[in-house]
Amino acid sequence: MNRADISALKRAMITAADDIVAAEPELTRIDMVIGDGDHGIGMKTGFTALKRELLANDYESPYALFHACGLCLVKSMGGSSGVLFGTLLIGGLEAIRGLDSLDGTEMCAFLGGGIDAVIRRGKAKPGYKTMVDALLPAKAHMEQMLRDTTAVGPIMRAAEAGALGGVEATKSMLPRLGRSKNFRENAIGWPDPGAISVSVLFGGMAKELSK
Amino acid sequence: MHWFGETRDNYCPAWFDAMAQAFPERWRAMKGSEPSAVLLKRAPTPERVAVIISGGGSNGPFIPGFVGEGLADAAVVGPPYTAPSAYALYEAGKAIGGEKGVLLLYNNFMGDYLNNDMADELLRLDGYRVAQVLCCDDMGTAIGESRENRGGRIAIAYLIRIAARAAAEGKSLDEVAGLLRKAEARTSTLCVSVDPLDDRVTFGKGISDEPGFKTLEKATVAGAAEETVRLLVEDVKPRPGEKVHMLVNRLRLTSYSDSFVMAGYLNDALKRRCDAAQMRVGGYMQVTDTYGYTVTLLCADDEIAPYLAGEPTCGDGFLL
Repeated sequence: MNRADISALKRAMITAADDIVAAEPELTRIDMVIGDGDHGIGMKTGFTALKRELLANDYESPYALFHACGLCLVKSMGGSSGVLFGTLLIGGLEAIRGLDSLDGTEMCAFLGGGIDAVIRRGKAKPGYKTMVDALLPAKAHMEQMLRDTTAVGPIMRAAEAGALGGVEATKSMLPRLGRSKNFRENAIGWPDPGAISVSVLFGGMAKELSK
Repeated sequence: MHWFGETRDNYCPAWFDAMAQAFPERWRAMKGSEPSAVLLKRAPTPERVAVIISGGGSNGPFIPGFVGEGLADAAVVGPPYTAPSAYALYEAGKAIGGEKGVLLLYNNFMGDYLNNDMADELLRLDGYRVAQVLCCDDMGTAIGESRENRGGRIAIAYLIRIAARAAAEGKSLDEVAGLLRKAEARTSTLCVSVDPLDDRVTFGKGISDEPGFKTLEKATVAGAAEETVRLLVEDVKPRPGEKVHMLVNRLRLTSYSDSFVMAGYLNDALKRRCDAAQMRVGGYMQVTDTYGYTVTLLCADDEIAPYLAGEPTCGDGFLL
């Protein structure tokens, strides 16, 4: 797909929501070991509400669609994850104000803005074993791919590939922030659940936008 | 709290709803942000900067008791001991925000920062002017670290009074936020908890009962007051030209009369050490079942002093 219109973006977010809900047992299993065990349930709650929101409404622009998605996560999830995943979908909105569909350049500007906003707000640095460790390589992969194509499908696939590489890298990291820092060395060998959620989100979107 | 355990998600909305039922002349409760809760000042003042205070629920009278004329325009709380959602803060901002903008005023904790910062962004996207002021006054937290690592305690009470008066004067959002940041930087709060059976005094316990940093055995009331003021003055270091205001907040197990007697000793100690301005005493924020008090100093220069002078402001169950 070269450009994603509103209905394609809607399908992409619904697929991503289904994938997040399906990943809940795995997220919970890992977070039980290295966190307080609530990340998977929080994500499931948020993305169940997000799917319900998308099925019940029509949106006049990609801006309105992602604004509603972000707000829905903030409202339904609470806690830090709700804010940070909401930020990911809201922080880059200015880049797509007024557009009625997104190509790869615009998708990269939108997600890149959201990624920058998560880093600014969450105060996590690279290497702290957080979602940032999936977000930064996702952004780098998107920017790299833009040299070859501006089609939205490959750009979203690049985001997924970057995030998956980041998930792998978090396995060897020591946690530095949040509850899981209390688990320190026990967390070695386990990936960060927040990073996994990022890769599942981008992967679900990529699946739909690559069609 | 266990008595209310089964209704935890609805605890704060039920609390604010009943406050509005009890004093409809003063407050109204806003629904739709559960499990967070929103309490609004009954008579809106959209021509002024709107002040929203927020934090974890279930203390008292801070946070909702500080909503009213001369105080904040809205209070937003999360479930007990949990930050409110950005969504609830956003809804409160839309409900009371006018041309002059919205000021988000809160104590410095991670969850509160994340949610207020997100609400700031959501309100800006809708075209509102927004400013945030964080209160970092608890000297018992993050000792030896920089101020932005400190938690907030109850200096925010002074900031609420200053914000309300500055907003009522018609000051702009930037002007109100500037005054508050200036005042905030000159505050310090120390928790002094007392074991009255064996005269042991602990300084610097945290808001969630984190251990203190210093203990006095066999302390007298006067001796504890002297050491309290010494530690605070050493921390906040009054400058020439500043007058020092003192807020004595009784903790939950301290009696009304005990708190005033203690405050008298504290005021004497303060007058010996610096240019003391006005002392205020009350039950502003009562978190844990502790006997003792917190003491807050605010060093006010000529710009800040007028906002603390004059008649006390009347909140729910306290004078400030």
